[in-house]
Amino acid sequence: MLDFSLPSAFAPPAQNAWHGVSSAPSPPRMWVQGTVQAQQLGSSTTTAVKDSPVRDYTGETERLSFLNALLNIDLRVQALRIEAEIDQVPFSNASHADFRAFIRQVPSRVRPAIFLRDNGNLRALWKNDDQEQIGLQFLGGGDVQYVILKRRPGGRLMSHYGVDGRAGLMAVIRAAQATALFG
Amino acid sequence: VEPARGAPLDDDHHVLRYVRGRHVDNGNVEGEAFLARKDKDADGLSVTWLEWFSGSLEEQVAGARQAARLTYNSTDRLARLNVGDSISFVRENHPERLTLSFIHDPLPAEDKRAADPSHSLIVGAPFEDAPDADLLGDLIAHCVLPPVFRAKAPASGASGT
Repeated sequence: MLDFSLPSAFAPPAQNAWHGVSSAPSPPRMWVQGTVQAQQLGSSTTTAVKDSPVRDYTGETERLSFLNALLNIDLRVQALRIEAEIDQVPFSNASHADFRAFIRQVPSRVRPAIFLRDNGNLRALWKNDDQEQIGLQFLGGGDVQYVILKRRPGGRLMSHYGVDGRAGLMAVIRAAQATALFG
Repeated sequence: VEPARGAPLDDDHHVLRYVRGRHVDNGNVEGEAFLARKDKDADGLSVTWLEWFSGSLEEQVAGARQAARLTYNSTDRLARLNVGDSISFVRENHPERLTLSFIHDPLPAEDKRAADPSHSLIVGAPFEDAPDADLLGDLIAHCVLPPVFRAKAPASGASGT
């Protein structure tokens, strides 16, 4: 389901879980897989973020890298939202919500390239210098269209592409041995 | 000598593809920029043949800007592809060994528009609703050569990238 409403570019979304995230240092703590709570990110919510499928958060440096990536992602998305309003093209809030949920589920230390598709969906692209990539278009409603390119040792790129929900998608990414592309 | 309409461009030549600003981020180009739309790209993806213009790379890009029939926004970009490398890369890495063609397709003068003898087409790409369309778009996007140029002519003395 796509939501093609055009929100005001100059008013932030009513609920933006990234706002209020503080990058101020705090005492080191071990973030244990399956028990990480949004509270630790400075949010007032206590909703648990369960079963991070990619990595544990260990150490303050990783935590700050993750927070920095989140803030940069937020800035980029807001810029795209403004551009959409100026160009009078759609911006899908449902896609944005899916993207935000994914980023919190799969924390990345690097900000992906983020694009606004003509259909209003956001697409995120993680790539490396070896032309490997994870490209994800957030379709809204929990579905993600993916294009994963992973190089065989010394050879051509192996491609994986299709549409799946977040859980299935993570299985595809793991099977492709592409999780390292998240940084 | 101007090649005939439909003649393939030389492998060592280059083309520029117009890319919307929201399809470029930190020099990365979104593959959607290389997807064919049924209503607009039935014959192929429009590109500008860079070697049609003489001079340095910057002068060639300036020539391409002048020949363009689109009105560019300030955030729009021009992505450069090498013909032979793009064909090879897609063929080597597409699961069905898709082979693209880059062909000359000069546009005649019409109405108030001048002729555009540099206009060319990328042929062989599936339409945007095909299952493998995004894959192909991403494969082509991997062939984009740095730098990605501003589509709108920069102010005098400013960098065009």
